[in-house]
Amino acid sequence: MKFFASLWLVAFALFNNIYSAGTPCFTYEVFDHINVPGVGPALTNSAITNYPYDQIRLNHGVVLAGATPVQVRLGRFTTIPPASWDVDMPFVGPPPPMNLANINLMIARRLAHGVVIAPALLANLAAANAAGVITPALTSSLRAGGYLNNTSDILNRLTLGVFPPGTILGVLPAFIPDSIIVHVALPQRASKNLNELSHSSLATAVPGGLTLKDRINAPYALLGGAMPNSATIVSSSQLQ
Amino acid sequence: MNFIKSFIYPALILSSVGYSTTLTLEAESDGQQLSNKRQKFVSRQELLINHLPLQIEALRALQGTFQANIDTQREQNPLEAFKAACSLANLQTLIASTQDVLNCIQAEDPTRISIGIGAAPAIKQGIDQLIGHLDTAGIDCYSLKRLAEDFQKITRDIPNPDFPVD
Repeated sequence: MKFFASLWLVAFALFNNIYSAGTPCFTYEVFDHINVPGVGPALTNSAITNYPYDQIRLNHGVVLAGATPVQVRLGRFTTIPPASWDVDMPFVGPPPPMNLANINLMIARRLAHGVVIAPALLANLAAANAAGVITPALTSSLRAGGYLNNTSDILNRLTLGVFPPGTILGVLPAFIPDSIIVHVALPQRASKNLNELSHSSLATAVPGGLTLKDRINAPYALLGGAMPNSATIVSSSQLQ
Repeated sequence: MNFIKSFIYPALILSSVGYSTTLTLEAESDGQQLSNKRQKFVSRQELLINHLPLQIEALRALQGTFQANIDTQREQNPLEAFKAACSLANLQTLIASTQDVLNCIQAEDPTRISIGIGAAPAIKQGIDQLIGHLDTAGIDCYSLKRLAEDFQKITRDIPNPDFPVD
């Protein structure tokens, strides 16, 4: 009895974080790797791995290093042998600085769909808008909410960005992909708190959605086909 | 004493009248500036409330182009239909963002109004990017371009500073 009780507690502790925000449908993993110039990155940790082996095998050999933070890869895994990945890099180099209008838009989008935002952050944002300057109080609130880290910045640009016609996240497909991997490779520290990636938004009926997964699923939903098997991989030199 | 009565008193009275007149004029001038500022703020909110639905309408008209492509290509060329669906989804995201900003501006809460107005330059940036992409792809977007000029006038003096880089 004692054994089962402790087993249940361990299982609860493991799964509660993963499933607390809704049905998980966006697989992801976090790697801790060390970028040494001229040498392949050394993987020292992987947090969650729950997508097909073929994807993992193909992906692990291509952990990016240096100043190329985002790759979007389109694959087709329902046919054998698997199609090769289409690789594109919508962002080369570090993301451009976040500006006040983008933060306002990010917050407006979340407010409109019932996402709870800290009242202090809202007050500081309104004060900054009134003054027309970025105040230390606003920067502090946004940092505390995780809005200003590079991962958040990149995800925001991918989710709310405007891409060329005919492309998915900026990649022109040569076939209809059934697997999509977004790889964010940061040369600096990244947060392990990436649960946002693993869940579709609560506002699934909203065109465009709120999350990157919604954005990827949207064209498939319009065609009425099966949703792709997608993943976001965040790799960094150091996890915090 | 006569000198004081006939010269100093009138001088004091006149100077005090002049001073009070100056104060009154300055106060009126400040009041006018405040009124102008308030009018400017209100009019920008109203301008956006009037303009953003037109923007959404123009984007929805473009949706029809891509939806027609999906319908015609679905059976013959599924990849082209998929690309049209990607384009449509892209537009839907921009429409949804614009609608969210409009909702904020139409709210009664001053904080939401401020956030909506503050977000308008980001919508303008998205529209400009879209126009550039559509031009490159050879897709007609005349009405969107015409609206973008008005949008620029409304949003050009909304402050949009960059956050400091880490």
